[in-house]
Amino acid sequence: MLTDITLGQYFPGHSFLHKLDPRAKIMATMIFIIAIFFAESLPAYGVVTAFVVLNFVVSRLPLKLIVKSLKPLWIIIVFTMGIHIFTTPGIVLWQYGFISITKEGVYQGSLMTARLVYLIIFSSLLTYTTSPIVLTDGIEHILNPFRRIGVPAHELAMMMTIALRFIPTLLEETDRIMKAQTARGANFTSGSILQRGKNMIPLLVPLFVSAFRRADELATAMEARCYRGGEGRTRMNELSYTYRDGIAMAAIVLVTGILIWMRWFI
Amino acid sequence: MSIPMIKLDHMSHSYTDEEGKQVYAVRDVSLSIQTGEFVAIIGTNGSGKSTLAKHFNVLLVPTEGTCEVCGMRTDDPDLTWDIRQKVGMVFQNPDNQIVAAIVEEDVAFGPENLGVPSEEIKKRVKAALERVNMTQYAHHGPHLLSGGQKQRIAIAGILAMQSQCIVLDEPTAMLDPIGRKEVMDTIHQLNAEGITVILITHFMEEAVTADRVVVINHGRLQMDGKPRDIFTHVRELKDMGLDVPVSAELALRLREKGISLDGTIITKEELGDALCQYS
Amino acid sequence: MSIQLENVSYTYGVGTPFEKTALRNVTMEISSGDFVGIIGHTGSGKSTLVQMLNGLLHPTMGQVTVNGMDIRQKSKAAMDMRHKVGMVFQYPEYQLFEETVAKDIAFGPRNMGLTEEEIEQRVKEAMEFVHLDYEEYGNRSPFRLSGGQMRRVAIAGVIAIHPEYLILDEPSAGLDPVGREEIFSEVQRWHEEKNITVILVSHNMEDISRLANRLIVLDHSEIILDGEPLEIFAKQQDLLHRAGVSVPPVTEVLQYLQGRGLPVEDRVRTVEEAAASIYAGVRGNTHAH
Repeated sequence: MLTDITLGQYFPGHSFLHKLDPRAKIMATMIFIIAIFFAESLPAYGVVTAFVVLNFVVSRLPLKLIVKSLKPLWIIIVFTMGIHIFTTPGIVLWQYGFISITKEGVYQGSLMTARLVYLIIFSSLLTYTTSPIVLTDGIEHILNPFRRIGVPAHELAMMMTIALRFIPTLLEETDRIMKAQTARGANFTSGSILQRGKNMIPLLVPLFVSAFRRADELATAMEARCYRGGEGRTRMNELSYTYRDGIAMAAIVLVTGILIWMRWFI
Repeated sequence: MSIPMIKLDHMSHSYTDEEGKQVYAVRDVSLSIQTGEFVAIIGTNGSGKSTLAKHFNVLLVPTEGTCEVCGMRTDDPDLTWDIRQKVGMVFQNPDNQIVAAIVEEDVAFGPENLGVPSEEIKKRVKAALERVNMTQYAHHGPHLLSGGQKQRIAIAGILAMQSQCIVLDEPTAMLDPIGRKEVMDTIHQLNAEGITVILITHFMEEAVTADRVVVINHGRLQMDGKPRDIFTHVRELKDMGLDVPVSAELALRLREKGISLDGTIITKEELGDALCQYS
Repeated sequence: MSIQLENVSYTYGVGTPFEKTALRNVTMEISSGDFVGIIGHTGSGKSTLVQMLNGLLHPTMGQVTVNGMDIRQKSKAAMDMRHKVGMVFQYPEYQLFEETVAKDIAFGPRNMGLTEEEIEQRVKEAMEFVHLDYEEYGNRSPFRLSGGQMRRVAIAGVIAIHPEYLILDEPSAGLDPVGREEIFSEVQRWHEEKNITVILVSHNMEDISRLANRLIVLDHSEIILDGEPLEIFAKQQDLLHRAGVSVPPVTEVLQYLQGRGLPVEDRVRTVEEAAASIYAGVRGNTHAH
C-alpha cells in the first residue's frame, strides 16, 4: 500500500548523534563535505575513513541502513569509478584495444569513489539521526541571519513542515482516486508514453483540485489558530546547544585541521 | 449581567453572486450566547449555519449589523487576534486542519503563534492532550490516527490556546459512529469544565444533548429554545428538511392515531413512561 | 448469476513490518437481485471486501468470480466482467475531472469502447437517473455545482457503465436528510425496475434496515453475521454490540419499550411501521385490561 512508506529517512534512537542540535549537525555535515576535498593522500584518506567509521559507531545505526542509503546511487558510484579507471593516463596494467586500465587510474578511481561514498554516508547519518521536523527547524535557524537579504527563512520552513505533514494524506488520496477511476475503466499501466501521460489526467485533475481545496481549508484553520507569519512566534522545542554540540564541533574542526595540515605541510 | 460570550445584533452576511444579485447567506440574526452554555446550531446543507459560525472567529465579518465576542466587536481589526484567542474553531474535515507532522507539535501551533514561552507551551500541550485523552499519541504522526482522534487533537490545539469558547463546524460529519461518540463525549466533558460550546451540526441526536438549540433556515434564525421546545415541533422541522428524534416523531404519530400522549416527549424513556401509564 | 468469494483472504504489505490481514477466509455469494447491506466498524475489513468484488484488489488467497468468471485474469472477457460491477466510492465528488458534466459521465462508457451515439444515450439516461437535466447541466463545469449535485454527477458516472452490481460506499456521508433521500430513492427505484444488485456499505443503520434485504456484519476481518436485517437487529444485539455497531434508532426505541414490558413488535423498517406496532400493542394491552 502507498501509505506504508515511512517519512523521510529518520531512524529514531537516543545516540550521541541523535541528541545533537540540528544546527550543529547541519553545519558539521557541510564542513565535513568541504574537508573531504582536502584529502588527497592515502594517510589523509585513512583519517577520513576513521572519522566516518567513528561517526557510524557512535550513531548506533544498523549497517544495513548505510547499505540502503548507497543503493539508489550505485550507478553514479560505478560511473565515477569507471571514468577514472579508464581515462587516467599512466602505467598500463591491462589493455584491450584502445581500452586500458592504468595503475594511476585504479588509485584515482578508488580515492574518488571513496570520497563519494563517504559523502553519501555522512549526509545519510544526518538524515537518519534527525527527524524531518527538527531538521526543518535547524534549517530555519541557519537561514535566519539571511532574512535581511530577503531569504524567507520562516516561510520556507513552514512550507517544508506542511509538505511533510501532507505527503501521507495525498498519497492515500492518490490511491483512492486511482481506484475510483480504474473502476470506471481507466487504465494507468499500459499504452505508449504519450498515451500514458494522457491517461493520467483523470488522476491528476482531481488530485490538484483536492490539493487546492485542502490548502484553502488549511489556510483558514491556520488563521483561526492565530497564525500570522513568523513574527512574534515562539517554539515549543527551542533549539539549544549543549556540551555535546561543543564536542562535535571540536571534533569536526580538529579533523578538518588535520586534513589541511596533511594537504599542505606533509 | 455579565457580558455574553457571543452577541449578534441584527447581523447579516451577504455577497454578490455571478449574476450581480445580492444574496444573503445569513439574514438579520440576533442571538446571545452566555459563557458556559452548550448551544447546538442546526440547519440543512446550505442553510447558512457554517457562514454564521465563521463570524464567531472573525473568519468573516458582518455586512450589516454587529457581532461581538466577549464585548469585542469583530469588525475592529485591532481586536481580531484577541477574539481568535478567545474563540477556537474546529472544522469538518479532520485532515485539513492539522498543520504539523507530529501530534504534540500540532497542539503547540496555536500557543506558538501567540508567542507563549517555550516552557509554558510544553505545560499547556501536556495538559491539553490529557484533557482530550490523547496523551499516549503525543509523538504519533496524525495520518495514523482515526478521524475521531484527529478531531480531538484539533480540540486540544484550541485548549492549548486557553480559549474559553469552542465553535465546532460539523465536526462529526466525516466520522464513523465511534468517532462521533468520542468527539461528543469530549465536548460534553469540556462544557462541564466550564468551556462554552457552540456545535454546528445536522445530526439531531447530537443537538438533543445541548442546553439550547438554534434552528437556521435559509439564513434566518427560525427557532431558538431548549431541545424539548424545539424537537416537539416535528412537522415544522421535517418541512425544513431536518430529522427529529425517533421518540418525538413516534409520539406525534401516536397522538394522531388517537392515543393521548403528552406533547413534550423527545426521548425513549419519556415515551416509555407515557405509554406505561397509558396502558 | 452471482458474485462468489471462495476462501478469500487479503493481507496488506506481505513481507514488510506493516503486514496486516484485512480479510480472513471469507466465503460468500451475492446473488443477482439482492440488496445487501454491509456494516462493521472502521477497520473491520469492509472496504477491503468491496474492493475485491470488482478486482480493484486481488485476494492474496482464494478466488473471486463474477457470473462464474475469475476476475483475476487479464483477458478482455474478465475486464468486461469487472465492468459489470460498478463502484461508488465514499465522497465520489472528489473524483470528477472533466470540463463538463456530460464529458465526466461519459468517461466510463468511453473506456468501454462504445460508439458516440451509445455514449450520449447513456449520459442522458444516467443524468435522468440522478435528476439532473441534460440540457441545463450537461455543459456546465462539474466544479461549479453544489456538493450534493457533484455527488449526483459522480454517481451518474458509475451508473453510465450499466453495472449489474452496484457497490455504494457511504453514499449519504455528509448529506442532510433531503439529500440522502434523493439518492436512496433513486437507488431503490433502479434496484426494483432494472433488477440491479446493490451492495450498500454504511454506518447508517436506518438506511440499511429500510433498504436492504440481506445484512452482512464484519468484525475483525471476518463475516460474523449474514442474514435478514430485521432478524439480525431483533436477535443479535450482543454480537452487533461486540462488533462495534448499533441497531437502527427505531429498533432501539422499540426494544427499549419491549424491555419496559410493552407488547410491541420490533421487526419494523420505518417510523410509520413502528407507530403502527406500538399502537397495536398499546391498544391490545388496554383491551385486555
